Amino acid sequence: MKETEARKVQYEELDQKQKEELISVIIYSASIIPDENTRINEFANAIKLAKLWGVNVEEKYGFTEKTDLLKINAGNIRKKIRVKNLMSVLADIASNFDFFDRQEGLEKELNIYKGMMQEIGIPDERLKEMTFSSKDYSNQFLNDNLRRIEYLANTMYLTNQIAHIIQISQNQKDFADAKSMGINLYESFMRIKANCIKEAIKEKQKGENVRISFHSHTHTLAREDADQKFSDAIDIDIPGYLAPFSVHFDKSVLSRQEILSCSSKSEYYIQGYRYNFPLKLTDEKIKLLEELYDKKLLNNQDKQLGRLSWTIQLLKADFTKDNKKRVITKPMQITNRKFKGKDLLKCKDNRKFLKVMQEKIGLEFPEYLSEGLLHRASYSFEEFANKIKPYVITKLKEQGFKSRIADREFYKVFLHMRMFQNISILTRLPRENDTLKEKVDESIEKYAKTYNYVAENSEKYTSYNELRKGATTLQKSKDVQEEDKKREEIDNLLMQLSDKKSQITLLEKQLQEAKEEYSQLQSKAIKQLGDIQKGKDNNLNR
Amino acid sequence: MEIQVLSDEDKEKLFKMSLEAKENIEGIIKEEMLASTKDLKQEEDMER
Repeated sequence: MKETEARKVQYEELDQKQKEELISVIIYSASIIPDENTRINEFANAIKLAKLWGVNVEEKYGFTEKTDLLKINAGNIRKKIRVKNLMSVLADIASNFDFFDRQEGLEKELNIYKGMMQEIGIPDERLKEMTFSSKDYSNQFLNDNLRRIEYLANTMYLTNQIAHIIQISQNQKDFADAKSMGINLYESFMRIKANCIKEAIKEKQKGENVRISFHSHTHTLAREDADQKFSDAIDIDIPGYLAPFSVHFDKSVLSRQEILSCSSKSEYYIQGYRYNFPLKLTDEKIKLLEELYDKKLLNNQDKQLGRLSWTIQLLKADFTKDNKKRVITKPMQITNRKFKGKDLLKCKDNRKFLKVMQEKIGLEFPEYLSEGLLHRASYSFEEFANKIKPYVITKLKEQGFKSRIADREFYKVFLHMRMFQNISILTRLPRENDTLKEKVDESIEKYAKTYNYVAENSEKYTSYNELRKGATTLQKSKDVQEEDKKREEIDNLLMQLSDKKSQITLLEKQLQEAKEEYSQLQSKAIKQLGDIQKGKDNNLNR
Repeated sequence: MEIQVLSDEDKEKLFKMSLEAKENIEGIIKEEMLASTKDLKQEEDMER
């Protein structure tokens, strides 16, 4: 198949169980959407699609006329659904395409190794192992004992593959049904993929044995089914797998800290190896590959052999120490030593207040954000909230908010005040104080922007100060924002420059190899010409 | 169409595992949906 041709996919309509699996995946994906309105809309569309597919939504999801989608705790859905379960339903959905039967690249690679194994005298009986079989599938997708990083990488890979299949099969009935209900299935899968990438980076930061690196995605952009908006790709290398888990994505979904905690250059990409299905190697395959490597392939420059060398080195790799070094320090935790007596009690209550706040606004705070909000707060959040609440609610109602909504918006106002006002001073002022009212009025004016920024970006950061700094730019002048934008562009250009440098190094290496090959061929040709000439001379002399 | 790479035993295992996974996910969604069910009476009282 030419790289520029879109993949032709054989597809069978989803059965009822798989349709229900797809609904679950859509709802999970919706829970990742930061914007509240878009998220609620997606929940509603998923329910509509379920009804269209004949699902009893009350029995299955507890959805009734009384369900208030606004009140759904998306954070709980994200947190409680295990990636292992996601991988299982995705593997089942993927089984409806010929995806697993079409791993020609993988088969070709295994066949090459098989041929080499024959050359070194490994018996045919053992070589039966060198195919992609049911045993491999079971080892990778029906395995209860994978590490979380493996579940994440496999889920990331499956969502990517299914998203592409959906993209080129949009007119298939099931996908058309989803589209008619306002669901963009491709985006749903891409969202889960991006979330898996972020979670995988978290695992790496915790010291997991994994290497994560980036490279440009330009080599596949010529394909018809390539998404032109993605020019970045990520490689997740896990020991025990034949190749990296490689997917394209939009690097801007990651925070600077997340990007910095990974490697900027993928070794696999720099070497120019072809990307194949990231097969989890069975113990038997590992033994055979190690035997082949030890007997024949050391110091060989053939590209296939270089790729095997990469797999063997990865098998033995230990990235845990390096990953631990890269851990980004969290903001200071509140400890008992810092606060004593009444202040300590206030701190405990403040933690409870933050929980209520998250439930009310339907947004789960990352740990660093909760800790940042609690940091150095030696006053009671609740006491201050009670002091300003009646005034804030009245003001919000004047703006047209109904009671229940105004109550939720109040917590968003409080969030803005905690981030940008000096509450420790305001808390000492009496309820009717003009300065207090002025600060509250100012916060009511600005809170929506702050909240939206936090909702959309809190997952991108790992530090409260960075998030706060990001939100502060909303209040900055246009000139300052322009300057920041330019700085960011320069950073991006520097990263691109670094990528290009790697490509140049690779090309130079290939050029050098080609020159050497040319020179060897030239010498060989001259020698052969000489031999022919000698033959002719001998004949003439005879 | 069936995937060739899977044995019948694995197909059954995939079916069971994905069914269990699906039910787990649905259970969590149901729990959250039920938690967000409106108490209309309480709301009317609040509005009053």
